[in-house]
Amino acid sequence: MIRGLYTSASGMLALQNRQESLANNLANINTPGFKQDVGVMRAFPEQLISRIRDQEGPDIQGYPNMSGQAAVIGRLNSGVYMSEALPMFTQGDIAETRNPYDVALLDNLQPDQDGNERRLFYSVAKIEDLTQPAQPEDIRYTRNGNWSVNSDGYLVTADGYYVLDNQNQAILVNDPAGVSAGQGLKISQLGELQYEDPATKELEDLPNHQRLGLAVVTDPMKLVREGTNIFRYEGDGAVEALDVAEANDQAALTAGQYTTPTIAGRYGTQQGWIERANVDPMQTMTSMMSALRAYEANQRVITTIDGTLEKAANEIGRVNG
Amino acid sequence: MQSLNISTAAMRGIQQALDTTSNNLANLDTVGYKRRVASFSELLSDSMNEQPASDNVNRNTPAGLRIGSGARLGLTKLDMGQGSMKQTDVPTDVMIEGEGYFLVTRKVKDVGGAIIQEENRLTRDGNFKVQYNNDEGGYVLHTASGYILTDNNGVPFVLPEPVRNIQISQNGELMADGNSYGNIGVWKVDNPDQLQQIGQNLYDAQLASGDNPATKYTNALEDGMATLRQGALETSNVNMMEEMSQLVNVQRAYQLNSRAIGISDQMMGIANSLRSR
Repeated sequence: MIRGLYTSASGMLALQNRQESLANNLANINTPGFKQDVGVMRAFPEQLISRIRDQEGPDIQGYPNMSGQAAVIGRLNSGVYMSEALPMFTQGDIAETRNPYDVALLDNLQPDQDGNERRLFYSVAKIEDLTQPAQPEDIRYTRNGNWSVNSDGYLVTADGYYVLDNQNQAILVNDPAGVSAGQGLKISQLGELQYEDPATKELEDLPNHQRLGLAVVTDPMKLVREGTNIFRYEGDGAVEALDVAEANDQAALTAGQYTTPTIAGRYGTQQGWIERANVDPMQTMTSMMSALRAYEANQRVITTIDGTLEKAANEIGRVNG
Repeated sequence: MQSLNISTAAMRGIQQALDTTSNNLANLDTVGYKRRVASFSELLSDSMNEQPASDNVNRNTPAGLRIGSGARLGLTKLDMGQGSMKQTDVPTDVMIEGEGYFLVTRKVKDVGGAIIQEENRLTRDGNFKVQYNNDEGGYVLHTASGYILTDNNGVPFVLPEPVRNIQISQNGELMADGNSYGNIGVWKVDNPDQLQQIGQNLYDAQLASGDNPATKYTNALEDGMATLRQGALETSNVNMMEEMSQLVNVQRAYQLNSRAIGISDQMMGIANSLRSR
């Protein structure tokens, strides 16, 4: 069989996957905190191709020229596939919503000493027993700060995950028995959870909660997209919580005490704003169009090969063709 | 091909967002209307695991190829921002400045005319009218939809005679001809997103008949979180420019997704014509 047939077919399959990935990026163009996927196309492992039982070889003095040996013709690539979809964790634009339960996460963490591109996430979890902190294996990460308060008074994401504080506990905003921050919930730039005391009109810490559970993922490529804006960490080691000391670094940073970019702790939470998707519609559309054309080209190759095969099938051996 | 479903799901969500926007725009002039903001959410991801084994060594992400399956409308959140003031100089028009809702009530009767239950509703619409009510045996303050304004105990205001010179103070006290008739209750709701919107500017108060609203809500006037203003109405908090820009944004997203469908369709057509000769 002609190998090119499979090569082109694998190309078409890979381009279909790429189209799906691009369509998903475009579909989520208005999803808060959505991170665009970039499809990685990779050639199948390269093979060496050789003629077998070959008689001929170049006559080079000093080198034996034995007949019947395989002679290498060259390299052969047998196609392409989409191996992975890398999420692009760049910061999205932020947009004002004026809703107290919308929080945009601004992340300007610097790479660490090993050059890892660290990224900041909110930790969320589905918890059964709300009195206990979330188990480490239940914790998921998200950039989507589009939250609401459920009927039990807990801060939840649009898909029902509980937003966690820095003790990995679900955040109780409306406590019928205790303090109800309600719409008066205040989240400071450093992620501190506060409310205005109705009596004294002063900002107090939300009872039992200090700050949002912000997590630093050292290697964000090890995050697995679970859908519904949620990522699961599948790397070695644990995800570190954002250090309070790092958090306080921000003050030092604005005071100009740091000059080197390796200092961590540049971040901010902005209440009443959301982070928009980082999808670039123009680029996505262009990629889609080029995927379409490449798909078309692969189809042409297949039809051409089909024509060749047709000759073999129908014309070879026919008398007076 | 999954990409058709992906884009279709997104377009369906966008249509719903468009519905929200158009409802906001339709209520641009509704007294006390609070706009809703549509927000999107991602759908689940597919994970495909038939990757070549040799691939495992030189990749950045954990094994498998994950492709999402589109977007949906996740939440339509209530924007509780204050609407601007419209001065009417009508003495029975009241506007809430700050947080909270008026509690209004209506008696539901069966065919025979007997009262079955009371319906409790919350509203920001302070457009009241004085009218005689047979059940209460006196003059009451009615909303446009036929509900009666209640005082700070959840009991309807009943004025024994057709009073004039109604005066409502900042802290809710209703005076007429020098007599005090009680205080208007303004109830603060901690989580307005959980209120059920039932149209006609009303939200279900989720109170059983005869329950004192103070058992469930706090009085915003007493807490100093709200003040009343007589002779004014709160217009809707819909900002036309914001809605129009949302409209443009959403329409473009719709267009982009429909083009994505077009491209997927072309690809399917191309695959289809593989064996056309």
